[in-house]
Amino acid sequence: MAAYLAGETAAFDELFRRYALPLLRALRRRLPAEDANDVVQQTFLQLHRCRFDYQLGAGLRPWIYTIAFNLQRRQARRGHYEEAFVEEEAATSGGASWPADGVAIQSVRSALAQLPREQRRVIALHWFEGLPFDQVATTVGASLSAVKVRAHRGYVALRKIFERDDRDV
Amino acid sequence: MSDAGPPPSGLTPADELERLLTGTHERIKADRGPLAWLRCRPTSQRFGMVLMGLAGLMALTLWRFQRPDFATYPALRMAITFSVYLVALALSIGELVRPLYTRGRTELFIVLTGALPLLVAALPAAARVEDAPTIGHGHDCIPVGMLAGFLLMLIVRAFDRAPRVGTGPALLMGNTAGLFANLVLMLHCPIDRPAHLLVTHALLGVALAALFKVLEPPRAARIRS
Repeated sequence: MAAYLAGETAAFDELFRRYALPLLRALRRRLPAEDANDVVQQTFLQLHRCRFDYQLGAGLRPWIYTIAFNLQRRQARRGHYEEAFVEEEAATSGGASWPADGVAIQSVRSALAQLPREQRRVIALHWFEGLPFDQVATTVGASLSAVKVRAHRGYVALRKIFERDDRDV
Repeated sequence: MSDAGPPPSGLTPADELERLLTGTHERIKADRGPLAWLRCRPTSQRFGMVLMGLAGLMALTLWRFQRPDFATYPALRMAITFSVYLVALALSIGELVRPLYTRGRTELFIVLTGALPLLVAALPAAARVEDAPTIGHGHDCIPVGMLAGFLLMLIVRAFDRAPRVGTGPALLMGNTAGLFANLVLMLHCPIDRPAHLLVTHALLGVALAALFKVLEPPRAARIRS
């Protein structure tokens, strides 16, 4: 981003190649392909327009995710699609920290689905996307302490769900 | 619709990504001109310029359309009402021009900007200014208020990086424009009767929201912007 702000247009291409594909995959799980393509392009157009707001050193990924989330929500309202969270979808569509075992993936997804929405989003970003809490806070638009409380409650709830499932098995 | 069009079958993800990148470049290239320049300014500058535009409109009102009892109107009362309006207006405009990398509080501001003029309309009953020279005034409140609100919409829209659509954003824009209309009318109209304030001042926000919704560009144009 620093290179792009310095006027290197090739840096924009690098940013696009780095962030667009996971975003596109995530969006296509919730939107028709054409709309998902559109949201990705709008996200990067907005990134271009917002570039002078960017403070060097700040996390870029929360920026991109939040822009995409806001645009996707608008698109969903226009098209009457389900309003899903881009962050969650991005996390569940190939985050590096996901267990490779398909059964485990299903198990975690099922457990996550039982959490309140706000806790789910925080955990998706923190656990699966590996974002530090301050960046999670930026992305979800909450204070750092609120995010930590949500994460704590979410992880405790997840542990209880897993323990219950183990007992049932 | 995406500039890159629907993905043709058989494309690899890398090819598709390059098509999207090309489309994004085309969008950025098309994003030029004075409005594009304004929208690329940092948020603090955009916010400041919107407020300066509104301050200019208020100065114009004071200069050309000042209420006849302005000099004798209780200064404290004017200052308090004016300050409350200004703070609400600034907060609401901050929400309207907020960048998309932040989360919005649209619903909160809809309530704030919608309720405030109604509240102020009810207050003068308790602190009525008597003997205000109202004859010959009050007949132009609706056109003056609508014009002021409409100008606010134009200014905000000029600085907005991503136009918001739908009922919620229309209500917020209408209420904010209504709030500004009330502020301008406070400088212009000497009538303090609650019925007048309610019907011809406070409800302007509803009319302006409806106007904004009617003027909302069609879907294809919105997506392009």
